[in-house]
Amino acid sequence: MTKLEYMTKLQEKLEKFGKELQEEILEDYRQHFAEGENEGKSEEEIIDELGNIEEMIRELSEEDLPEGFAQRPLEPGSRAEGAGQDRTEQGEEDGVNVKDADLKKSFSYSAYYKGVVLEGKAASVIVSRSEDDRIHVDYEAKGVSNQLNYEYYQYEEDGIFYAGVKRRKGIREDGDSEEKLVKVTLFGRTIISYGNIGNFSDGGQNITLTVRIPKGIPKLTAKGGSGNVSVTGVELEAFEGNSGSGNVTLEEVVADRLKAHSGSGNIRASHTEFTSGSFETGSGNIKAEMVKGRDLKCGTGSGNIKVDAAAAEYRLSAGSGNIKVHAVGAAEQVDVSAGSGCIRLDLDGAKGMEAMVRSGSGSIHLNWGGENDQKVKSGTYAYGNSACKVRANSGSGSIRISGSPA
Amino acid sequence: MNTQFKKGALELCVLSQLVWGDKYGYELTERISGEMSIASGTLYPILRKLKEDDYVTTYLVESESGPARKYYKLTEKGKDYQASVKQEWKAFTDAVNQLIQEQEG
Repeated sequence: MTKLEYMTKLQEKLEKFGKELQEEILEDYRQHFAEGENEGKSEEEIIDELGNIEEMIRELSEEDLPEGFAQRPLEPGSRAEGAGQDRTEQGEEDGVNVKDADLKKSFSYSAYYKGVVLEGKAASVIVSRSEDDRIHVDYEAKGVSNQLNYEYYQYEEDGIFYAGVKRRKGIREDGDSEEKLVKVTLFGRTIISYGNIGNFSDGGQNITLTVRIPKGIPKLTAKGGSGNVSVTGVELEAFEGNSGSGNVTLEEVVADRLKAHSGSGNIRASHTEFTSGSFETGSGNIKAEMVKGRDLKCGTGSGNIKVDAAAAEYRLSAGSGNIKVHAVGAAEQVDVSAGSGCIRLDLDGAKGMEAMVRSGSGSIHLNWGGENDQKVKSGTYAYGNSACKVRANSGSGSIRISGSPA
Repeated sequence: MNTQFKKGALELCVLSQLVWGDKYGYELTERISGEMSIASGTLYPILRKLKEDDYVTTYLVESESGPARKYYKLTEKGKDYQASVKQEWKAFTDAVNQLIQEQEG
């Protein structure tokens, strides 16, 4: 390939990124050629050095990454130590040598807060409703000495209540042949998670943070690193549940704005109500049953999505998994998109639908009002009064939509 | 190699090269491709992204070799970012070394 051919190909490939970016990269390459030639390199050598154009294009395209991964705030580090309550019973100096110790501590806090933030890290976080007007926290570390590498902390700042589990300082001693805990993040993602943490050791979860919060706290954020997050029976204005590799489970949660996110765990919600609900996981499954809200958004990279809900708007997308939706009531808008999985949508109670369906290589079947299945091509089809706009897209999976009007 | 990983690593390499002074594109790619086998072209999108994120700024300097050279300069934000990613990287390699040794031992 000559320089001209290479640059022409480059120009073509950059077309889709817009004029400005195209010219910028072209200029970089021109400069690169000029410098190389100046050093006496041949065109071929320089082309070889610059490498595969596709590879560079891929680099450019990767900038639209799924959110969660793109920007993750830096760890807050060990901010304000708790008010002297977070000492473990073992004391500082010999905590590491304690074997098979169970540690259980309980705390309770009064006063009202604008919000509660729980950071479980390796611990699992369980939240439920408090019977009185206090916040109760039970911190439990079970099993082997490794877990005592962690300690409980609590503090408040700007009217927000923070509690969680953090690694104790100066732990990492050698000479101990037991499994050590290694959890490393790099470029904002967990690269290594190894050792006796979370729920993959024999006896289930080793550290649990059980928190009961009173009614009237508007905002709750619950985060687990490798631990699970589970929330039951609370009413809030805003809820955010996050886990790196654990599951996020919601049951009987009511929140205007509701968000659940997991890196690789599953997300499960049942009997949950919201105005706006968003469930996202990198590679886990999403299951939302008996949920109710105005708009519901679900996204997974490689897991499946199963939704049984009453909402006005649905936006569901899966990279490679299947999507199954049962929409009850008067849905207005249903957007379903699957990369390679199959889509199945049952509209139960819509007055009509206008369906825009498209599949790369899968079959498409539509069924309205219990008639026979209609096998159709990609396109737009209307039934009833088209009150509900449906858009279903699959790269290579099949699509099956059926509607039973109210 | 995982592309995100690779990208992060290259980003760190580029930023670290700039800690000790401004460099122009070709200079950077030569320096990095001298240590590892990569397609130099892939560094340009990375540089662009760093600029977009305000980790670096650029300025042009006329050159005898042809088109003006685009120099990259680390911003204060970029310096902080480099330091924190470098920390992460060290923790990461320490952990990997630890695990490799355990495997061998």
